[in-house]
Amino acid sequence: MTVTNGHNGQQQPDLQVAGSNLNVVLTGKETVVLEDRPIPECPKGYVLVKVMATGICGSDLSYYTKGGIGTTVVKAPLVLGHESCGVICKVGEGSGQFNYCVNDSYMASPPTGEWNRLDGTLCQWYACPAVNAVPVPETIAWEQSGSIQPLAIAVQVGRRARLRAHQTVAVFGCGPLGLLCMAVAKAYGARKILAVDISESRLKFAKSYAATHTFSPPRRGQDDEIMSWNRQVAADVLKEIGEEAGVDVVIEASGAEPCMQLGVHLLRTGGTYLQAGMGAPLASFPVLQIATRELNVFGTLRYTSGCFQDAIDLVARGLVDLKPLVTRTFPLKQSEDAFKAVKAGSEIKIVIMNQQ
Amino acid sequence: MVQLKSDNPSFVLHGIDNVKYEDRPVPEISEDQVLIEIAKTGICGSDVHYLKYARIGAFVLEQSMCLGHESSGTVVKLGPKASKSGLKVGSRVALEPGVSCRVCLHCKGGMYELCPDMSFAATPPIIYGTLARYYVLPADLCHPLADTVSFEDGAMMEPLAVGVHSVHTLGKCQSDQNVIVFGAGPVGLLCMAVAKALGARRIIAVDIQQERLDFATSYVATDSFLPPARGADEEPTAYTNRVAELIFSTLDIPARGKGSIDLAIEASGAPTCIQIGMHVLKPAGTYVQVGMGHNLTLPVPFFDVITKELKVVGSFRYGPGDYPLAISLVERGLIDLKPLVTQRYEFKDALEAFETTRAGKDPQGKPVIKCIINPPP
Repeated sequence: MTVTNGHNGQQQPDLQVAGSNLNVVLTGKETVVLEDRPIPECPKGYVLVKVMATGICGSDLSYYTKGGIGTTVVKAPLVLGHESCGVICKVGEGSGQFNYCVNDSYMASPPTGEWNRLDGTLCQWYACPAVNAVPVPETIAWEQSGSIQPLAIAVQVGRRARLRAHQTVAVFGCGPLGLLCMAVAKAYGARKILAVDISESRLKFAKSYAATHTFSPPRRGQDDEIMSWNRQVAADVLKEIGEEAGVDVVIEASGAEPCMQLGVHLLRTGGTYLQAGMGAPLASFPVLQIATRELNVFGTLRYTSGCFQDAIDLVARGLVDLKPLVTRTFPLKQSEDAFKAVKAGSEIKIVIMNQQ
Repeated sequence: MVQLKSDNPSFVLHGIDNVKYEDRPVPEISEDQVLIEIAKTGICGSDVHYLKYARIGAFVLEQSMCLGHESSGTVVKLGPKASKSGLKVGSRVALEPGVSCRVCLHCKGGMYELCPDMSFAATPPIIYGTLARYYVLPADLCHPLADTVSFEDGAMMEPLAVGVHSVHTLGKCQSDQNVIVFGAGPVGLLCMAVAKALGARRIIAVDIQQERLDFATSYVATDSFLPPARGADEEPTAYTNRVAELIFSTLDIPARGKGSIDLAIEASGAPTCIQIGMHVLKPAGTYVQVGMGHNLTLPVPFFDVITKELKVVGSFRYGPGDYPLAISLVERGLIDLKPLVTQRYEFKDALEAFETTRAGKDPQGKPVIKCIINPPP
């Protein structure tokens, strides 16, 4: 077996526990400051990770622009970021049983707990419980590793929606989550994947990435009755893609009410609707359809045991390609620009390189 | 504030047929653990096996080990993080004696009974057991008992949880189903009790001892069946087929359709029962293997498994939700555990409990189902 020179040709990072520990701290709405904090201790059962890359997620953006998400409000200065990867440079006492050694590369994902009180991974050094660090092979570049956590979410979507070979799947929302769900559906052998979005450029990207068909729904007029309008639009697009009886699975990854309403109409009798997108807490939903057509409606949150491992395996085996999704990277020192770029919405996935 | 006693008399196994009473240190507790003063302890076939063989399969006794794992008791001390469990000093609890690692894929995936790093009472390499005055467990593994549930009932929750795991969790027994249980020992009887509590229509007990069958029908079984002996020249396959046919004809059970057998629980480990169980199941029925016999590498009628598309599952100990359901079934009066306690012993006579369990009868000739041992005075 050949030993690479480092990560996918990139230079092997210096493993010495030294240097700065810049943290990106949210101090108020749309205000982030860089703080150089001491390198954390590595207690029993923990590993000290030199953080290399961090993906930015819609929830990070929500914290940045609104100071919260849903009912969770940021009360005190908080280090953002949770989609990270890095290199273990120190192993705490009691972490040895997991066979981690210095110089392995790990996806460090902080324990999900009370968000308000747990600083995130937009920093340069992070102490992580050993059990939360999942091994990542050297063949995956740092930039792409920043996208593993959202892929783990898409893997969980796959489990909840019971995605398997030869199914027909419609995905609403061609942001990173929707795109990764399409990638998982494709990896699992779906025979048709319909991407739905109102942005032509995102649809174009989806088609080049994982979708077999695309659809941009027209806007419903004020005088169009909701149910009959959706029924007609659904019938038209289903005919166009050759699935008049309806699709097996609809993954709603936009959180937008019109998408939910159209999504339900795209399903075949007995089909599965999966709500992954987070929008307004209350929406108008075609419940009569759920009853009369015996639809299965599931929610999904984050991931469960084994999802990270599955996600990494999909990338390592080349079944999911994260490279096209990471359209831009920013150095940590320019995190504010990164957030502004995420807000502007013209990129697909932005990854911050923590050591730069 | 409970005054703790300073001694911890323990019933310790040193080797084959070699047990001693020892005063072990009162264990320390930390974090989320509690200290329990043991109230009652039941004896299981596995305890007897360790006494006689100092091993079970790959679990080999290497250091002296305190015996006992089926217990109930009172919480006498709480660790600093244990109070949020709702337990208090004085709480009466049933002990779930297996501490899993909590972080592996099995534990996080909802099947902690399969954890490779399980620390189980009175199972090597663990040196602790519940045949002592005190025992330590994480608070979440101490299941509260209502006042109406006795400590003896509490000590039976461990084997009852095995029954719940086999019949409910894995066997998915539904109301109005027909269930056959092979082996009318403690585990078999508890499986029958669970099936009844869950609304099974017919519960057929099968055993080679008429006494055990009589008890089963007086307890919860609707039917019983005593297989005839195998003929001297009768081929094993012919024998098991014959027995299956006899079950159908004498108990008026069809091979399929209404009245057929939905669920077979194998609680004896006997090869013939395994075969008969698969013969009598309806197409698409469920077969659960919980009994551990002497030799579990043996011929299995896969023709039945394939052509009838049987679901064959193994059942090991218990997992999430099993203890709470066991306790609930007893608390609500759906299962009565009292008839199963057949002998009682003082702590100083614990060895007699083991010998009686092994013999299957006490010196007075009374059959054994479950022996209960009192704690040290």
